[in-house]
Amino acid sequence: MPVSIFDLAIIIVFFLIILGIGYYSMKKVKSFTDYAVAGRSIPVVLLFATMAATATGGGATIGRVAYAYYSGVVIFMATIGFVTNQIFTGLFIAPRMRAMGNVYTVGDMMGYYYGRAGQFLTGVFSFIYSISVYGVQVLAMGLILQIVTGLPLIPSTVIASVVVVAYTWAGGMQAVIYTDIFQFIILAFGLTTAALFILNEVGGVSGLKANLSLNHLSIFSDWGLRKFTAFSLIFFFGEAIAPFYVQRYLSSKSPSVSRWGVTIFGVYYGFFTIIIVVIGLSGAILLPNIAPDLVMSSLVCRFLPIGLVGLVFGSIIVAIMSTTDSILNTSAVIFTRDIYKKFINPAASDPSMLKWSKAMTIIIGIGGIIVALSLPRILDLLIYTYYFWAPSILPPLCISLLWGKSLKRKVSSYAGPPAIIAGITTTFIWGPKVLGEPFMLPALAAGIGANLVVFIIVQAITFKKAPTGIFAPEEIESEA
Amino acid sequence: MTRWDILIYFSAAIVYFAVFVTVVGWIRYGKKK
Repeated sequence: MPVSIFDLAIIIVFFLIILGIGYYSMKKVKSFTDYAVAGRSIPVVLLFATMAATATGGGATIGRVAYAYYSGVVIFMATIGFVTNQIFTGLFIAPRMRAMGNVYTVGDMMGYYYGRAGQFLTGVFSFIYSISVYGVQVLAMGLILQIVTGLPLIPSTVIASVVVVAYTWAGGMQAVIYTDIFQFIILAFGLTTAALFILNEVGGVSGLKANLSLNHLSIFSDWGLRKFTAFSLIFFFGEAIAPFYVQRYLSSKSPSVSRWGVTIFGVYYGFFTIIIVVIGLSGAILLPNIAPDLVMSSLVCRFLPIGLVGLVFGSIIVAIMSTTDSILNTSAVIFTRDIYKKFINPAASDPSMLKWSKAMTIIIGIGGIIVALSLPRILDLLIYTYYFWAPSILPPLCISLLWGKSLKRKVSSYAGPPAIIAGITTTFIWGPKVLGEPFMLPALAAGIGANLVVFIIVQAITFKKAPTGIFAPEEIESEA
Repeated sequence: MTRWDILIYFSAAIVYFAVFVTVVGWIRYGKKK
């Protein structure tokens, strides 16, 4: 159902503004530090906005509306897991990361605590995690642009992705953050206005209560404890301290800015989710019996006036773009810092790293488009991307950061790498493809548990041993 | 007005306020740079 020319024009204007911001940012990028962490200059308000834009992608908009449409209020309850995580991360993790000083990636931090072994494993897993999430977002952009323009999937995906790759290549993290801020303003305003319009169509809250089933309105619906726990765990851990968020914590002016920018974002996100859930609940009344993933776009086309249609579709598209650009930039920085600089060319200069990051942005950017279009079931694979992060890197990282001050090494360097391997291996074996999550224990929980057990055992055995070789902790270079 | 009305409209107000603060913050940051 393509939209009117006027609405399409609004979307095109958004694209042009974003490209303009990207071009403007290109001139401000003079170093790898500018490209990777925006020169570490971002204040609280802008950190909040870039977090909000990055966290709000296809899943948080179209996906969340689909769940609210299908299952009701319960999806908000599960999302509280993400909100809780962000508040905890904001208060305790983000400032400690920023306080480490001249670090660019989670790999740098893990290198500091667990040596080259830790940095290598983290670099590989964070790279795989990031490019997988990137691929999913690419497809999500294509799907929504296909609906809006009526073009087939391939040209829609290519158009949207090429815009993202272009400005991300040009301006790195500077471009990503500045466009995120514009994208946040559009998506927050547009989606909230859409929610209020659509809520009005069903007759307000009383209309929702009168016409929705009891399951839709009940806090836990018909999910049962197992399903609710599994969802809450995925929301809590799935993107916890994800590399593309960490890069933002490191882009702030100071640890205090990281603390408050992220914490305020966590609180805000709870309220924003209420707005999104209202759209899905209204859709359950206005458009019963359609595919849940089509609810958002169908509601916009059927119930919003011209002009607002363009604004809201534009909001959804830029929401996904803002996530995509962040992950693309992060992937390129991870490769340049944790793999290229650390293991291929340790003598790489700052200009060389800048060139490599830009080249990797193009390679990953275009490669991701080709892979996403070649694997139609890629959206089903999203669940497995989460297995690469929480059960592997998170436990050793959090223990090191939270035990004493962040620059104080209180754990044995030997403990991290085996724990990482134990965690991810257990998760995959415990998961649906092999053991099928026995004892009703979700794979993520089993993996994190295995990680902690191995960590504690190795820590106990080795805490007095001086680390050598690949476990010898790396030092943080002083700022140039 | 029920408490659900208050919750939903308050949430909308929070989001709109966040947008306003971001616009102001962006302008001020741009001027400083």
